[in-house]
Amino acid sequence: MKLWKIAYTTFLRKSRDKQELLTSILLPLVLILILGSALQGNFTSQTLGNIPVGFYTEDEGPGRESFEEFLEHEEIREWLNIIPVSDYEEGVKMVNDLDLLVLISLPPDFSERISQGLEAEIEVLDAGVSELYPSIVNSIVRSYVQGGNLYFAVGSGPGQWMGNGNPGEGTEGATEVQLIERNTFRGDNEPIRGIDYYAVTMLVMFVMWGIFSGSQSLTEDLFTPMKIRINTAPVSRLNYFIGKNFGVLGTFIVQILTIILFTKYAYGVNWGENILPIIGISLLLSFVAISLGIAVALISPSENASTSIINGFVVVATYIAGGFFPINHGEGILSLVRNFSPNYHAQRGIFHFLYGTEPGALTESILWLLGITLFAFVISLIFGRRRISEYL
Amino acid sequence: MVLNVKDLVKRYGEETAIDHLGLSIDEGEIFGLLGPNGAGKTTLINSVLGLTKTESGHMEVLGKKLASNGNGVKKEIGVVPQDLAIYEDLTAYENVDLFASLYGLKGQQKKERVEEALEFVGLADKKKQYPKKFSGGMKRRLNIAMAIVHQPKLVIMDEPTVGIDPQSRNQILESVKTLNQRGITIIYPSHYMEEVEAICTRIAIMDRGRIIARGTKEELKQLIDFEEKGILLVDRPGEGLKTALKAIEELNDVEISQEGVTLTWGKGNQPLTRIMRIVDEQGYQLKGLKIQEPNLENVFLTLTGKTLRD
Ligand SMILES: Nc1ncnc2c1ncn2[C@@H]1O[C@H](COP(=O)(O)OP(=O)(O)OP(=O)(O)O)[C@@H](O)[C@H]1O
Ligand SMILES: [Mg+2]
Repeated sequence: MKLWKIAYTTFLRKSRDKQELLTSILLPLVLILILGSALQGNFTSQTLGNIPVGFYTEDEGPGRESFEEFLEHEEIREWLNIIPVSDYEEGVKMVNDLDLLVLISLPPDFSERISQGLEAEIEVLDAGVSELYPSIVNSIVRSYVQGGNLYFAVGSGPGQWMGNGNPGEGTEGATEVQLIERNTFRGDNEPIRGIDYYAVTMLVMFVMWGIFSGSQSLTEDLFTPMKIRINTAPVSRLNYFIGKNFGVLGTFIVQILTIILFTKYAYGVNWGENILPIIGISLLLSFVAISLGIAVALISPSENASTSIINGFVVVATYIAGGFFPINHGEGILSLVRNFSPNYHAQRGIFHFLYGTEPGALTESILWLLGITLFAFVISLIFGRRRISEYL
Repeated sequence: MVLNVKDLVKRYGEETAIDHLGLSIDEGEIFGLLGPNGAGKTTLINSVLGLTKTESGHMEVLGKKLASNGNGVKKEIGVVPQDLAIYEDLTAYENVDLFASLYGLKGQQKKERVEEALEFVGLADKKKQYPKKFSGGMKRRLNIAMAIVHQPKLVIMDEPTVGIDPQSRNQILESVKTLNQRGITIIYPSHYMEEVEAICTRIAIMDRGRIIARGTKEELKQLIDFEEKGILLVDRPGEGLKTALKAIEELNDVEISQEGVTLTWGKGNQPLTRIMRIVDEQGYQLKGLKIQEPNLENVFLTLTGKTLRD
């Protein structure tokens, strides 16, 4: 009873905070619209020249050599950042994680089929986050195929057509090499639109801003005269605190539902058939936010310090998760660091739920998020004890 | 006994805030805890309520140890914190209602008690307003309502009148008396001598973490032996009158002042009839005699060599 009264009152107070409503609900709705429509435009031109493209092949023949040479061309390097991938599955996984936006792969028998005059394939696999990236890569690869480079390379001499190559198709004969475009996320070849992407990343980021709520729910009572009232009331401090955070959680639910439902019906964002799992991940993320907020409140020396820590953390966590724009993690330090970003795990979970081909990804995300929550609680316990007793 | 403290010690680092303090308070009192800023009043209260760790000491509230008997005793106590503890984004009613719930009140009874508490502090007509818009005095009164809504047996009000207008102040003082008439014991830490003197039935004077004197205000005044002062109200007193009065040996001092003649005499040695006769003999018309009583300020000054307020 008391618990619910505390939860309800907290919810009531939060819902009266107009500024909070504005920044936690209205702002994300606006940002999703702006960023979502910007994805196809400005936003991409900045990252051109650095489109992370994986290249995988087991073909050992001249077809591979020629293609590699082609990719080495300066004009192409201006557009693409070619990353050799040694394992196909690995490459697919990197595309799924948006480490690569496109994976080009040549089958093992690529050179052989061409030399035998059979139809060969080049597969272009994309993550489906953008229409622009794959289309650039496709047109580059297409220009290669249609330019007939392949035939000069594989054939015995310049200008000589290969095997049973059909001269009847003239210089267009090169179309025997099929460009297979595939999309890792959904079979239907329809890429994720910018607005679908940003609806997810912005939802995640704005839930993460809730770290402030978590932090405030602690400091506003613990470090103020209100603590005297609460500590002298016949209710345990823990009870009070839990009740409070239930109230905060309630505000998260409203925020999450509003963002999802509004973007679904007003912007037509794809949230899948069943939104419950997405609400579930978002709620789990709000748990993470609350627990991080508590930890920050307890470890930071002042209100100002905690504000800076939270601001910095959310921005960095969003950035490395590709929340502002998809970024290339490569295999370096960034791919390790991003594991500390709750945004990354939440986004990955949601994207996989919506478009995914890796069934394990959702569970993995949930485990990571739970792990981060646990970590935050351990930090709170270690630093919190001392801090709380100092204040009493 | 409502409160029983023995040999309490509380340190903040090097500083001793409560220094081997002992105190007992009986039921039904308005017990004033008078001391200057930093005397340790709030620290004493916090220690007693278990809000702060103490180095040593034995403490009982309402006959029980707070630590071991947590919620049972807590229900019987109402605490008005020295600093305002209200939620500005809840209406006056909601603030009181929240704590009514925390103290276990429910349903119709809760509603009645909340209304009653707001009525009691004079905020019934403002119950739907947010404290943001309240004056300092109104906030203080809300601060009180939140602490008494559960009708405790003991109310601790830590300087409830700091920084407010005289009207709110009087209202608070009156309400303290009313609460007491209903049988509630009140502990009233304050550094306002006048307030403590006006409402408290017993007083302990505190300084530097110790209780240096206690008793009723009369008892405290008797502790010290000081001069009493009176002002003789006459029109245009002259040197003749002054000389004649000086002849009275009980009078220690005679000064002509604006209002009349200021006289000082030793405690209990008031030579009233002789003064009146001399005034008469000198041909003046006596309009009155204002006697200045000793007050707790004098007591404090005598005991500590300091004034209550700097
Ligand atoms: N949290 C604290 N940390 C360190 N010292 C403290 C703390 N609280 C109180 N003190 C010190 O303990 C002494 C007693 O302070 P306390 O607040 O109990 O005085 P008080 O009698 O209530 O004064 P006031 O009339 O100003 O409320 C003071 O010297 C004060 O500086
Ligand atoms: Mg105090």
